Amino acid sequence: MTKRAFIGALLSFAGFWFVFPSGKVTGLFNRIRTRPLSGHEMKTLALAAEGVFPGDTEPGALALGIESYYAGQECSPYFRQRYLQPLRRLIKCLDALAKRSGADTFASTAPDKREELLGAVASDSAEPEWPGSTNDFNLLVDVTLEGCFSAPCHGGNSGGAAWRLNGDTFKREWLNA
Amino acid sequence: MPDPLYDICIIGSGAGGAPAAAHLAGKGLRIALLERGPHFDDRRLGKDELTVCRMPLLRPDDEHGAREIVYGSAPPMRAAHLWTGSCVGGGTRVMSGFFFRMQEEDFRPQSNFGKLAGATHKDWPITLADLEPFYNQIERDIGISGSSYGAAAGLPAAAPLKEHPVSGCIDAACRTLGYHAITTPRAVLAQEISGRGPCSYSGLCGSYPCLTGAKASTHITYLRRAAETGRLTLLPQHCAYHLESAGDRLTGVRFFGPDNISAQIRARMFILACSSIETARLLLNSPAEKHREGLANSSGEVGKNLTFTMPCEVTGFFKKERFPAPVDGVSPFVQRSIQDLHTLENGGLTYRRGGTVVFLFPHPNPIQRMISLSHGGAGRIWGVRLRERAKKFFSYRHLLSDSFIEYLPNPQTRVTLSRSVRDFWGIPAARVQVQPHEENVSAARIMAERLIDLYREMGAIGADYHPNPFTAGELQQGTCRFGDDPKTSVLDRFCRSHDIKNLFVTDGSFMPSGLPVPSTFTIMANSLRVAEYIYRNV
Repeated sequence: MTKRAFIGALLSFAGFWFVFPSGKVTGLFNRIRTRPLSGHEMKTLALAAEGVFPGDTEPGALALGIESYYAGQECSPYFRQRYLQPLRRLIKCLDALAKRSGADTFASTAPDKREELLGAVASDSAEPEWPGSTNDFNLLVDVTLEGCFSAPCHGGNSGGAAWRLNGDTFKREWLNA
Repeated sequence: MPDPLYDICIIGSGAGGAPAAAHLAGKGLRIALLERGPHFDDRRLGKDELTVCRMPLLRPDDEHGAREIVYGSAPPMRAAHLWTGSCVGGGTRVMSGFFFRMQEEDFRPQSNFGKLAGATHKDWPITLADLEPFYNQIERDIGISGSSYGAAAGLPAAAPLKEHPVSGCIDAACRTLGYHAITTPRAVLAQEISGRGPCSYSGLCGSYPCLTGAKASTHITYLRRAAETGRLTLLPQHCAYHLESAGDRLTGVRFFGPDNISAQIRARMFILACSSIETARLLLNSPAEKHREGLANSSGEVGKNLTFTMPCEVTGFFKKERFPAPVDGVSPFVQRSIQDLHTLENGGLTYRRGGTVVFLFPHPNPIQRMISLSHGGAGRIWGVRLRERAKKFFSYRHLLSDSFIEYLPNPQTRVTLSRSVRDFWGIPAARVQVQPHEENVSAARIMAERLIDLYREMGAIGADYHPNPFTAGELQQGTCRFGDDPKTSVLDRFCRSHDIKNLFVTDGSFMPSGLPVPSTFTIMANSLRVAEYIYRNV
């Protein structure tokens, strides 16, 4: 590279950062980092949520609409900034553990095996290879319970079923306002 | 030097700042009121649990509100903990509104209950007689349902709030055990007064904004009154970070506005009411030539003697038929308290102080309830175990008792400046050390035992008490204690700085001891008392 070309490249690089508003650059990086959940990611999170709050004779996370909750929350800056990255890390961890046990992905694993894999993450077993995975699992528990027990307008807690499970009879007029 | 634009600059719009603002604006003074948090429009707020949990009503976000917190002997952590409120109205926006007055004996804790090794509590330089006229004024201004003090003072009685039938069970059990159950005085209206209220009994009160105006948050009481004078300039999202001084006078306050640009406000007089932790932090962050250890700190006491309220939460479990659920979703309050445990006899304590007990239903936020049920022992509870745990929990009725035990100030609970944590604007954050005195831990255990006995008498099938020595910090006192001796106090008996002649402090920082009652009512009454002093004497 000639001296002129080098100086030109250096000035262009500096000029980019000086002239281009830094907010726009930050915004660009944020948009890349907080891309919407892919179909695979959504399915994995929904099945993981069902593991956290399973259905039996009463609805679990899936029946309560946890996928709608996630879809709605993607518009929330709070959710994108605090939850998305840790949940994505957890998905990678669960898929890697599933592969080791012979499946392709967590989502394609049998339900009882999925519970085992969640248990491994919850109990620190995955921690040496996936540092922070237990914290990410704890966040999954919080997000699942938010999705199941928040007002139906957020996408989950379909028809207020979760509230009825707990005998919650509070009048929430603001939901109809 | 140009003439100041304002007569008084007040920093903080909660229980400490708003009454003073209203009183002094009403006397013709021009007030600038800086509030670090935003002004939330009631019409845009709601009781949606998810939204409330995520809105920075109680505290700033992690970036703007991070502190260095040291709980006991745990390593320091960076967290936005121990905030009282971060919006116009401060903590009063989301308070439960328990408005108890101090009793005469509470003003002389050292004289009445003795000294204690490792505790730094002191007698107050004022008495109940000094505060009583202002307690009465607050009651007249905002209305306190269930108040028996008002009747004694000849005040018009506010209509009582609806009570849940469980209050009768509490009354009966108290009679048997020799306690005196009283109606909980609440700064919540049962009827419409002056465009406020009445309570809608939604059940979602403490930690939630009020949508009817029944709760006496300062933004619809004193700040509204101040604004009506035309002499209040309310400045939300203006975060004060440095006090400018010359000699023994303050000349201005530097702040970051919503545009994050630093600017200054000048006034003749200044009142700090940012909460105990933030008031201390502001003073410590404002050293000057003659105040190298922080402004107004010749005594070395700024930041010391921080108190909270010692937590003691006991939950009683009852069969569902014991007392009914809310009918049609209308949830009256429990509205019962006892103050018989202010002094704990026969407990083996050296400092025999307990506190007020308020009975209430557990917080109804369903998200928080489920998250709380998913914690237990080592690791999280999830899956089938969580479902079973929830089923069992919700098969009972629950009654909670919340105790306000007098917190002993001690050298291990204090505020300094962090060397490692800075806020969004690069200003050193508060470093808060929290270590309750062992006597307080014992007092909490004794209170819990007495309350479990009471629940048993009420027919509870079980009771839960999980000792937790660390409070959430919504009630804070100390850090700038008042007193007559400038060597051992920051403020004089009128909450004026001993060192800086035009500086007053009207949040809870002035208190030289903890209280056996929630401190909000006392902070508001004192704010009026100091404002009246400023008007008459300064």
